[in-house]
Amino acid sequence: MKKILYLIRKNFLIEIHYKFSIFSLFFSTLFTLLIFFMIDKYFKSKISPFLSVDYFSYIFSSFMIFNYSSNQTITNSITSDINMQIFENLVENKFINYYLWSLIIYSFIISTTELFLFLIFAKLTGILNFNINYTSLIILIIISSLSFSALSIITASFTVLFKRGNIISFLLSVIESFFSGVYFPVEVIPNFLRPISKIIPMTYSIKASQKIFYSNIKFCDILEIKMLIIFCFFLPVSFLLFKKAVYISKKLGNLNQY
Amino acid sequence: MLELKNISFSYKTIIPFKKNKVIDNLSLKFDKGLYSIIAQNGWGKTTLLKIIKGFLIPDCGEIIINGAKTKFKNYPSDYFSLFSNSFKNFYPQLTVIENIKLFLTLEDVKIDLKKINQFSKMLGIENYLNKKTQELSTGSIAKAILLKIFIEDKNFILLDEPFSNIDEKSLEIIKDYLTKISMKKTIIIATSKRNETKGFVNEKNIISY
Repeated sequence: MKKILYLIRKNFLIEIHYKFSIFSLFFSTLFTLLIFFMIDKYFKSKISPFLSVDYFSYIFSSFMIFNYSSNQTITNSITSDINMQIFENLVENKFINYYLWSLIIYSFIISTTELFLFLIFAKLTGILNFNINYTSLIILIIISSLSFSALSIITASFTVLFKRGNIISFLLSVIESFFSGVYFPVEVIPNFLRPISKIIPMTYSIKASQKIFYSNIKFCDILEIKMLIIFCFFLPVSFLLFKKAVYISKKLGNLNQY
Repeated sequence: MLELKNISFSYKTIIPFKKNKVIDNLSLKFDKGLYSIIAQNGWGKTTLLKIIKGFLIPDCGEIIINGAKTKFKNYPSDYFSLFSNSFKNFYPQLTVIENIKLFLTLEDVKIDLKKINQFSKMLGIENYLNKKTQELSTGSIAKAILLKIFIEDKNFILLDEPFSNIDEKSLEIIKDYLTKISMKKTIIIATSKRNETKGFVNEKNIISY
């Protein structure tokens, strides 16, 4: 645990070193949400029939969950460690697991801080009418974070091997943002493409978030959370894949190259 | 004791598949004491030390540590401390002390502030401990990394071009300390400059290419 805490502390110290880094993260989310707020104001009557809540409410909850994956903290941290040529020191057999767990927890802390800041902001400004079940919300973000982390670590494994030529990272972000219902409900997607939505955890997280944010539903009543638990089982697989990628990279001699 | 048997290593790219052989069928044996590998640039000194540390896995060959054959899948990297001038060992955004604490914790080494202060005074970097690594000169960073290595106190110390940026006064102190601890440890210094280890490393322990 001490090792994980030191690695998380290291990530915070690096983040704080770049004074405006955290602010820019917050403001980029804020302005993205503002864009959707304006879209909702302008197109309200045309968009609303597809949704159970207004479009901005829909975007707000889905975007808060999407943040757990889209901020790419895990992949970015690994890329940064490779760039700084420190990566070799961090992925020794003895502490590779600590390294990965520190990234998962750090990514969770950053996204959760942002989520609660925006919830407070929305509450204070009164722009949204929440009916949140906080127990369900906490369970959702933990399970979502674990299942997204599995995908991020699998993606990072490809970064370790292919460096900037990692097409998996690009594909994952495109698939998640298009097929999971972040910006529009999956029902809008053509029928023949909908099966793709069903194989990504983000879809279930976003659906569950709608119920938790606006309908005060208990987590045991949310089928999507059960689906997300299945995706969590990919986490050990992702750890194994990452270790395999590091092993191959040591054989290729490109562990510290980018 | 450390033994390398028929080690070969090539840097490879996947797409397109290319191989660049750097080390070919190399065998070496190290007992306790100070050793020096002297070879010109590009010979593969850094590569060799990285293989010993476990940062690279050779194409073939074996490494025997204290009589036990190692498996590269579960390589015991924690036997070794590695200093290299060719890649970073510390986070530039963190202070020296933060870096030292982080890496000592990862290595399961107790953080002994008294010991850190003692070594930092010896190396003349006591005033730099709370400075960010990126604010230090190359020589001071090298000293800070050596400080971490001295505190780790491992049985095998691998030093890749360790003296190239260090001032003469500190150099004497570091050499004296290395000589002192070499009774109980294996210290391998890789360098391209013969005069860096002249009179410091015993002639019979100099491996020259």
